[in-house]
Amino acid sequence: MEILRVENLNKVYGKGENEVRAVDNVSFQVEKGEFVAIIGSSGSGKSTLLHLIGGVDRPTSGKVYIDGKDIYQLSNDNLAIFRRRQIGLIYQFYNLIPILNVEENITLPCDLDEQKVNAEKLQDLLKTLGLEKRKKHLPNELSGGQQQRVSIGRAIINSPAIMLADEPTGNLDSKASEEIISLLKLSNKKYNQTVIVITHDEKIALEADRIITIEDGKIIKDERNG
Amino acid sequence: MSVLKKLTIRNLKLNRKRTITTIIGIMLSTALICATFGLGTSFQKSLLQDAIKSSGDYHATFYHIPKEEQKYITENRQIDSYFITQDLGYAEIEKELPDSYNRYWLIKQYDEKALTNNGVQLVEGRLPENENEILIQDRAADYSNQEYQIGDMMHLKIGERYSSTGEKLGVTNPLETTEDDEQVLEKFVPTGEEKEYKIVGIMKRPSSELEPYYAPFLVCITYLPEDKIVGNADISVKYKDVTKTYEITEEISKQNGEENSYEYITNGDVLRWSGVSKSANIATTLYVVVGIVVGIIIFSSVFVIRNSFRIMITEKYRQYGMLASIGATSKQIKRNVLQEAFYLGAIAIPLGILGSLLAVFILVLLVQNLIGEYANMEFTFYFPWMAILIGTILSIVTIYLSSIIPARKAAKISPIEAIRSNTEIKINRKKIQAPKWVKKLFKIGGLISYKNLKRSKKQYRTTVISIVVSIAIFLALTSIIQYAFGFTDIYYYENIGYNIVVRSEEEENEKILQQYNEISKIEGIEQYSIQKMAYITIGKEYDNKELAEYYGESQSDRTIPMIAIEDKYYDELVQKLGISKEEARTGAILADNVSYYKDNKYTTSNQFTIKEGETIKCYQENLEEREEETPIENKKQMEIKILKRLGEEQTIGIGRGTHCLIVTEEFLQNHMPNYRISNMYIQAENPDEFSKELDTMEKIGYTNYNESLKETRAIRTVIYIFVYGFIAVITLIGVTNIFNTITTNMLLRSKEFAMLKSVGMTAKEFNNMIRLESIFYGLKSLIIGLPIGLLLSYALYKGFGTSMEITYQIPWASIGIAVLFVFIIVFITMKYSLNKINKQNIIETIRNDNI
Repeated sequence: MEILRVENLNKVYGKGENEVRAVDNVSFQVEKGEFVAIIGSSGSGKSTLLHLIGGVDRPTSGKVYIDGKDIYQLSNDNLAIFRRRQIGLIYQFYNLIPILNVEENITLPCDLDEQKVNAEKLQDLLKTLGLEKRKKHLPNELSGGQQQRVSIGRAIINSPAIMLADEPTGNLDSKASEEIISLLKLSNKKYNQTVIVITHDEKIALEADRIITIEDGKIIKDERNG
Repeated sequence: MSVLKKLTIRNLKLNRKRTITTIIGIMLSTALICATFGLGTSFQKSLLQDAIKSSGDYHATFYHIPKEEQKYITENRQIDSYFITQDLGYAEIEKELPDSYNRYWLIKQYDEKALTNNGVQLVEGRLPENENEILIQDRAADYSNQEYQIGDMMHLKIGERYSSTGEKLGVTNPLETTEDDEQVLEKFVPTGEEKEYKIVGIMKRPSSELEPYYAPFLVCITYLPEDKIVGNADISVKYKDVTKTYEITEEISKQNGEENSYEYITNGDVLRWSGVSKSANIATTLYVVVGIVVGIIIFSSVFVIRNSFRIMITEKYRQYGMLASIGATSKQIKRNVLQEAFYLGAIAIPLGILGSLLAVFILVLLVQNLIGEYANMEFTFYFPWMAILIGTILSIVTIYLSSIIPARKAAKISPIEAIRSNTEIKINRKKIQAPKWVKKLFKIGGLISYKNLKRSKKQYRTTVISIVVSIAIFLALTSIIQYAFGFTDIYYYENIGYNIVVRSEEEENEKILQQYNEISKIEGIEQYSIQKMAYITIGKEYDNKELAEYYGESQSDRTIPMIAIEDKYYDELVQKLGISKEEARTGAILADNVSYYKDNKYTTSNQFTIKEGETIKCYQENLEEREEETPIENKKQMEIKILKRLGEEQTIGIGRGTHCLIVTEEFLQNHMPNYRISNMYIQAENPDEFSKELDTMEKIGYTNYNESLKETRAIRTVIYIFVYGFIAVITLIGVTNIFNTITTNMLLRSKEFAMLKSVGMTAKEFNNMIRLESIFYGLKSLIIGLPIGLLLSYALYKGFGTSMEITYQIPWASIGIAVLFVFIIVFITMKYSLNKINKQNIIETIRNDNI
């Protein structure tokens, strides 16, 4: 089943001589339950692509369909609502709300949606993330790896259509990185969660089902791992 | 110029808005301090000048100094200047004055300096230039129907006043008379000396030190040549150091020993406004008031300046970390912060001073134009050196103190800490715990707002305090106005239904009526009423014992007028009192409210112990001759029903505060056939024009109440200008504070906001969250500010209450204004920063902060 389709996506910054094509006519599809890694050098446009897929930025032209829905047809408010229900974003610097504790940060998308949080699911999630004992802690009381686990929890709590991770291990040591990767893999297997990860870490890329390589805003390689 | 210096200047230029708000904050504070002191100076100096003008430019006067001892005073090293006056003696006033109490001239001789420095206020003509020329008072000229005029000669027989027991009477002795004031007992004994004077000028009445209000003489002044100074001269001196006046005067007066000490007086008015006093007085009160005002100003100013600097450094936290990481020493960073403070101060302080000078200049001009005429004095702008000095020093100290603390903090920043994250916001889990109901009631947005308030407690406290100060001051000052005017209004002539009262000098009713009819034809009358009245005496049994005790028996006059007003006005009045027209014609309305001062408090009571509805016994008086001798039993007795007692209600035709019985014309004619026509009450469209018309008519007198009304209004306008001006500036300081804090706080959190949006918060939800935060914010300020303000206003009420019987009223209107104002300001500021944030791209915001 197709969960994501990108059609002729373009993102252009600047004008005339200063024009930069961050994303240049990109098209591809992702099936439900796939674990995709997007790799490319710094400035290749992979982050911009991810943000366009995540609905936090708007493209210059082209379309993004998530679960069959053309997301850029939505109004800003509806897009925001779509984001909290269907998209889980994980950033390199975690970007947690400093005044909310672990539990509150994780349940933030539910709360915004005014949904009841399934206590069992939350408990299970906290256990999976290894944060059971730290659920009342504030982000600044956690290590980097723990913070990133919180942000994974936040991304996954609403069982979104896709989970997008932007260099999730970029700020972590190798041990924490391994933990995060295995968590992402776990969520992919356990919840059949579609995951798209941006990275330039070969190791992570090798864990993925599929690797898309981007250069100068264009897909230059799209291959499946054995 | 070093790189760091360049960086500072560039920073100030780049953060233009922040720089401007900081400059405005410092400017307002400096300006307010300078203006307060400056106004104080100008008023004090104006009052001093006025005191000098009316009572003379000296600090003390020694009396009756023998010729040979004079040099011990005039050559004293402590004395700056002196002048000499002498009393030549009394002389009987030969022409008859209507006021028979004034029966002497007191001839004073002034030396050259005394003529210009002893408070002589020339109205017409010139000062005397030799010992044959003389100045008389305007009273003498007026009283005598201009019989004493410039150019006239006066032939005076000089003499002394002696009491019936043969003692010599002086300036401070009133006229000695018999108990009933019928006969004069003191004697005038001529010394044989005779003088011929030419009147060369007319002056205003001299100060009460020279001529007490009860004095039976009129002072006139002639020239005193130096060679004519004899013994017993009065020497007035001005000291080099006015603050030592009391000690030096005491010392000089006793230089011949305790028992031979000189008599002396000190010039109270001049000393008071020079800030010298033996006891608490107006000058001290003025200083206390100025002190309190300045205290409040400094308090709010320190907050504004401190806040601005803290915010500026918070914003540049990362930059300082960066500088540190490339090797800037903490000393350099500290210097950098202080330098920034220096530049800001260098721009803002002079601007503030200029602004304050302008403000003081305008205010003084305004006061002069509005009340100078009524107060009969000149308000002049004096350049307030001291105020500028004090304002500058205070501002510099505040700026230094408020920048040194953040500077030290900035210097201590560890580079990586600063670059990576905001340590300014140290969060403690316990401190930001929110009760469960917050989330339940206000959803997640409310929870975030609530927690945020708790997180940036310090910043919010600053802002809350500045709002609180504004609210409290506003409430307190509006109460002052309310109370101050609440009771001045009782005594002044606002909305009483008339502004001119005409009295006829005719004797017969017909002639008076004729005159009044003529007046009623003059154009510009809105309404008028002709008062008819007769006198009655109310029986002794209705005497208010307590009041009689207070005033003394003689004061409680039971004879009061029965006044009839025209039916139209009578009906209006009874309607206000709630009696039907029919019932109102069966009796009289009693006006007998008394307000008197007892036990340090104004109390209201009634002159008679008559109950409403009671029928009282009273006696008719014969108007032509109110013979005290006729025993009351012989007077015609009558019964009158008292319907109601008059309260605060006003009507044309009844003088304010008059004790009387108010009846219809018919009632008066039936009961008191010997009534007479009294005053005519007129509400004129233009009272001043109308007065001019009246001036042309003969045998009438009138009072124009518009003058007193204008005066009250002018004084009130001045007070309003000051009070509201003060509130405005304090509020402006508060607003600057609020603006600074909220915008910064919002900008610092823009990354968080972007985060919330990226996880799916809609714009609407986001705006709601911010709105909720504003409400929490405003509520907190109001919860603290309103009670403090109310407490202050109650304290003021207590202060006023000691001298006036008034009930405390919660100033609901002011509270409403304050509440509205707080929310409007907070919302506008939030909206402003929201617009800024909403314009930002989510991704760019999140990224920007990560670089």
